[in-house]
Amino acid sequence: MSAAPGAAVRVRDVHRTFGSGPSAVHALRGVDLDVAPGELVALVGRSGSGKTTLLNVVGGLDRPDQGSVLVDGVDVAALSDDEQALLRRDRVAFVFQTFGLMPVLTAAENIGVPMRLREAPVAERERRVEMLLELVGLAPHALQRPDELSGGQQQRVAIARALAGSPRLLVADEPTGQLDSETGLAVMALIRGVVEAEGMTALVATHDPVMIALADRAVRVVDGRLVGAAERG
Amino acid sequence: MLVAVLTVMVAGASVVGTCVLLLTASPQRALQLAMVRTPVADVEVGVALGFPEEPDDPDVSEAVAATARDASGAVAEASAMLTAPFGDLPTTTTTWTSTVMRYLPADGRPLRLAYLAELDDRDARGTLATGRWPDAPGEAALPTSAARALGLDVGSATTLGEGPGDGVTALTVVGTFVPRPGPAWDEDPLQGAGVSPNYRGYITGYGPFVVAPGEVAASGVPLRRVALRVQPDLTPATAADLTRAGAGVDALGKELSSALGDRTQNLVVDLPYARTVHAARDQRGVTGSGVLAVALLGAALAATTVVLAARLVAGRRAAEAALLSARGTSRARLVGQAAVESGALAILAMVPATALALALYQVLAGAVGLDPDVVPEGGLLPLVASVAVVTVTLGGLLVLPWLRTGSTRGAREDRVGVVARSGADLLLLALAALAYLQLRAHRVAGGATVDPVLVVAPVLCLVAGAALVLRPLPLLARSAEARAASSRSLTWPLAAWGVARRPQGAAAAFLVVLASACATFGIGFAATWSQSQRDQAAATVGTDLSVPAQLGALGTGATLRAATHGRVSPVTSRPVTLGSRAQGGDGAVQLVAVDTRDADGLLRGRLPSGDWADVTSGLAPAGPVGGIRLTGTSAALVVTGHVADDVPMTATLSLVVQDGDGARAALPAGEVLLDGDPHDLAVAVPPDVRVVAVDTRLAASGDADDPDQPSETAFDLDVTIPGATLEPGGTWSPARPPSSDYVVAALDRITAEDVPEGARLTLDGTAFLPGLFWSEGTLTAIAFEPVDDVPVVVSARLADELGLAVGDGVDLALGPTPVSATVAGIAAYIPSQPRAAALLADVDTLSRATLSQGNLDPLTDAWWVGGTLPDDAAATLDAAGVGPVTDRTAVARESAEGPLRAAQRAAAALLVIAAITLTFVGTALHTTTALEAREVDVARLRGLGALRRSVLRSVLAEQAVLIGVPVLAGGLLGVLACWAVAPLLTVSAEGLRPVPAALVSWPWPAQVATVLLLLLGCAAVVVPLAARAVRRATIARLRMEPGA
Repeated sequence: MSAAPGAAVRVRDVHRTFGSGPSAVHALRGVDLDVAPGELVALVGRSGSGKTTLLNVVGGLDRPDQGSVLVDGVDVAALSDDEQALLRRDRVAFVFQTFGLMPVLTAAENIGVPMRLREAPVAERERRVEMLLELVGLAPHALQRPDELSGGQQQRVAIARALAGSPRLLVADEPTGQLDSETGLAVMALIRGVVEAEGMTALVATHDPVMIALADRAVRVVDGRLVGAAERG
Repeated sequence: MLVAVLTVMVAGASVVGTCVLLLTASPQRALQLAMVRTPVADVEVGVALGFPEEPDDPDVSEAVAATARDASGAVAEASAMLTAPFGDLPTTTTTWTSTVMRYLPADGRPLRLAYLAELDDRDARGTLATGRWPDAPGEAALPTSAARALGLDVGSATTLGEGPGDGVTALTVVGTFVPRPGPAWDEDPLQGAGVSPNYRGYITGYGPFVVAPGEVAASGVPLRRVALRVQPDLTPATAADLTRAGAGVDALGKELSSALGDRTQNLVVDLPYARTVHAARDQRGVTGSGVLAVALLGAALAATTVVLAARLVAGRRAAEAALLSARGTSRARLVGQAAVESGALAILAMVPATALALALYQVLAGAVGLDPDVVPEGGLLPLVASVAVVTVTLGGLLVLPWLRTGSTRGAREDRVGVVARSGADLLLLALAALAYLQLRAHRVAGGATVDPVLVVAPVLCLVAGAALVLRPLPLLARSAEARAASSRSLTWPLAAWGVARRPQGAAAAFLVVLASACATFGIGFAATWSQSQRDQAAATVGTDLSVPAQLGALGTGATLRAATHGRVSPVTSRPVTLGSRAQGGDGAVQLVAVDTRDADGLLRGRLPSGDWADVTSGLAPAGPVGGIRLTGTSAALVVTGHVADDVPMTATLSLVVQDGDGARAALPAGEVLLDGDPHDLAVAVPPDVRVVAVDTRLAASGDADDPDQPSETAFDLDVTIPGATLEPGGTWSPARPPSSDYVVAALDRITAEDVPEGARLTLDGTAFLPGLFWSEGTLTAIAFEPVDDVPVVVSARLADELGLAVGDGVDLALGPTPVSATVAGIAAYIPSQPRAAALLADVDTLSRATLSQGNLDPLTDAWWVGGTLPDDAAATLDAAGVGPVTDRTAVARESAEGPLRAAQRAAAALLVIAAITLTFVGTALHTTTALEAREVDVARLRGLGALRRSVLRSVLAEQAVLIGVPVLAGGLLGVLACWAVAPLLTVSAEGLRPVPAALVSWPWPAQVATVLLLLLGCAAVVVPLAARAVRRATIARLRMEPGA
């Protein structure tokens, strides 16, 4: 896999092993990956193949044992914890399978969290939250808390929250894994739409063929290695 | 978690166990200590057998007459009965035996009476001045005052006879003595004065003539009074000894009356021991109420903590319970399993709780001076039983959440819960209000029983207050949350959201509020209670130091001033007759007269408003006292008298002298013939005194039936005191006897002048015949304007009872002397008589008023000393033999720290310790659980890009509000409860409303330090836990999330 010049994400020879000795799990074994700016790439593979680990390493939630990960030219692995936190705050956003919403906050408040972390002006935050709520179709549910929303609605809130900070890279791990097919389709369409609308790069781990179809390209992960493009559509 | 729950159970049970030990073991020990420390006069028992003046009177029964002649059998019987209650304890028996009055030789003088007495503790009752005590038949010793008045000295002989001129009992004086002051002379008909000018009408009484042991019976003079007193030595007494003695003494009154009642004319049983024991039991009851209240508060705190722990445990195990339920486990089985676990915990907690309670008891009881036994008296059964009950009860509370497992959730349940909580809060409030009203009305049970209102009221008020305080907290949290929404950052809004939207903190907040309130209330109440004990002691003593007056009161003030450098005043303190209010009993009106010129320097006791100087202004006399200043310690008098018409006349002179502190006493000078010749008299006087009155008892002899006898005759008396000088100011005036008196002589003119050899007083008067043949003429020249009216301040109680107002007149009687008084003010109480219907007067005014009527009776009953005194003033005075000294500070210390009250202080300290401990444990429980539940949220925030320190700040802010606000609110609640309830809970040692009314005390430094300790202690618990939770909640936790 060749490296595209000016790639938004550049992964080189990344290894990640959990544990040691005979019980060691080699989650990533020399992964190389480039993602161009504005590209939506789907990571495809069976459970335990290393997709999530790769996403964690790219998003700064985990550190590789070997190799380098550049996001917008920044070596994520070389950053301190706080620098990684700032990277996540300013450039990378996550969408988790379990949504990862704060249970005591309303939908609007959850969406506003990234902007609060950046201490954006209140008026700007409120405008953007309102816009994102409209975008994900949850304006009528702005004041509801996560436990008062359906799974699809929660995931849409999670996506809106991920977009709130205008990240350069969206990392999503099985964003439709816990949703029914209809809701999942809507969420996938939403991700595709906002990636195009916001001009961001997206790296999505998924089993869903529809999502794979919506991606610009799909990469297959097998036993911690990228084995080439996945079949789409 | 289990360790924390176990800690709470141990702490709660040990608090209750310690209180049980303070209630069961310490009272016995305290009673022992208190009885040993009680002055012997307060633990003695006595009986006095009275016999008629004329035992041969036909109206007197044979048994009484026979006993009056030989009381040995009755005395032996009484002695055996008085010592019996004390079993094997050492006892000391003293006996006073005195006879009826007999006549001294007439010698052409007015009639004089005297009596014999036999004392078996002569050295304790008197100090020999000359000679020795009698030890052979016919020997006698008598008080120096009597010897001087009778002209007797060692070697003199006299007789006592049945009638004037009879000589039945011959006596030779072998010694004179000065009676020691003290209650021992209460038995004496002359109260140890030696001379009473008006013993029987106008007949002067002298005595006692103390004779050798057995000589009273040998004299054949009938007995008038036999008094026995038994003083036990309680040092080796055990609690069982005291209980047995108490029961025996309680029965003594009836037993003595039954055995001796028909052999005496009157029988007076005096049982100070019983009074002391009953007072001690009263104090024990009051103390018990306080200790029980603490036990109840401790139990409430522990129960709250356990309920909190139970909820947290149930929350943690909810998933496990749900799984078990889903797999078919019945709720009953789940509850049973929880009960078994709780029971095991309870059993596990029993041993350390028992040991901790025992250790706490040892420490606390030792700290307050109870010197506890290693194994408390009464055994460990009460402790073990109470600990078992508390641990099992607390264990039962752990099961409660499991009873609700599987119940339906939703809005309906919430509404039911809200209604139930509101109802419980309202019920609590109603009960607290009821208890408060009961306290305000002082419907508490005084005496030895534990009062339920005193026990329950503080608990109800604090628990209800804690419930009430929590009510507005959610509203405040919502307000903070609304403000947080408009913030740019996440840190503080996140904390506000957490506070407002996580209901799990309510139980912890309740615990913290209640514990903090208990701590500040405990400190405030202890301070209020202690201050009230000091105030009550001040009101009871009335001044800083009080000593009973010596029989020769003059000059004592100088001794007191030299030892204390304080403000010294002679004091009159005695019951008086006021209108129909007779002396004696609880309803007696007490008169207190002091030097009011510097009342604030002398009088002690807090007033509701103003000070004692304001209250007593106007009581002191305006005009000065003149008089004749004496030099040295002996006044030599040259007395020359003339009588017109050659009527044989004698004058018996007494000088009323005043010392530098205003104490006055009449000193007999002797008798002279008014024959125109100068006669020398000498009077021993203390240094630095002046003569403020000269009293002359005029007697004449002649034939009343002689028709040539004039109906009146003029006389003059010239009294010259060489070396003396007239004091400036004051005017010599004749005293004005009460109009009801039969006047046989009157002073027409008094002239005082300085002469070359000294000062001279000339009295010109008229004697009325033949009246003067039959009775003495009493003539008193006073060195001031006569005082007809004494302004007094009356106590509110007396004013209420008699409907007195300022300006009203009241007629008092000091013994036979009437005193007209006018109400000049009304005070809440009178110093030294806090609960009595009492009057306060100026001692100088009162003395002038009685001297103005020719009454020479001494008015100095005590000496008071006020001011900033040396710490060892009381000890110095005791060592100097001036005493017994009543020290206000010592009385206050005994009231607040004495063995019978010490348990109250120990319990208050225990409450504060328990409250602080349980606050920390509860905070740790709540924080640990809350933060564990938050770890995923924290990880999510980290995943979103929040810096660790920012998240930590937010978590700490949330916990600071959840813990800090309840600590502060609880602190304020405790202060509020203290303000409202503490003065009402503070009662006297007898369980009565204190006088003066208790005023809430604010030990701000201690209160603030306690709140700070709670805040810092909670911070010390929360900060490491929060830091650990944030550290643990790494983004790695997100990776572990399913699918993350």
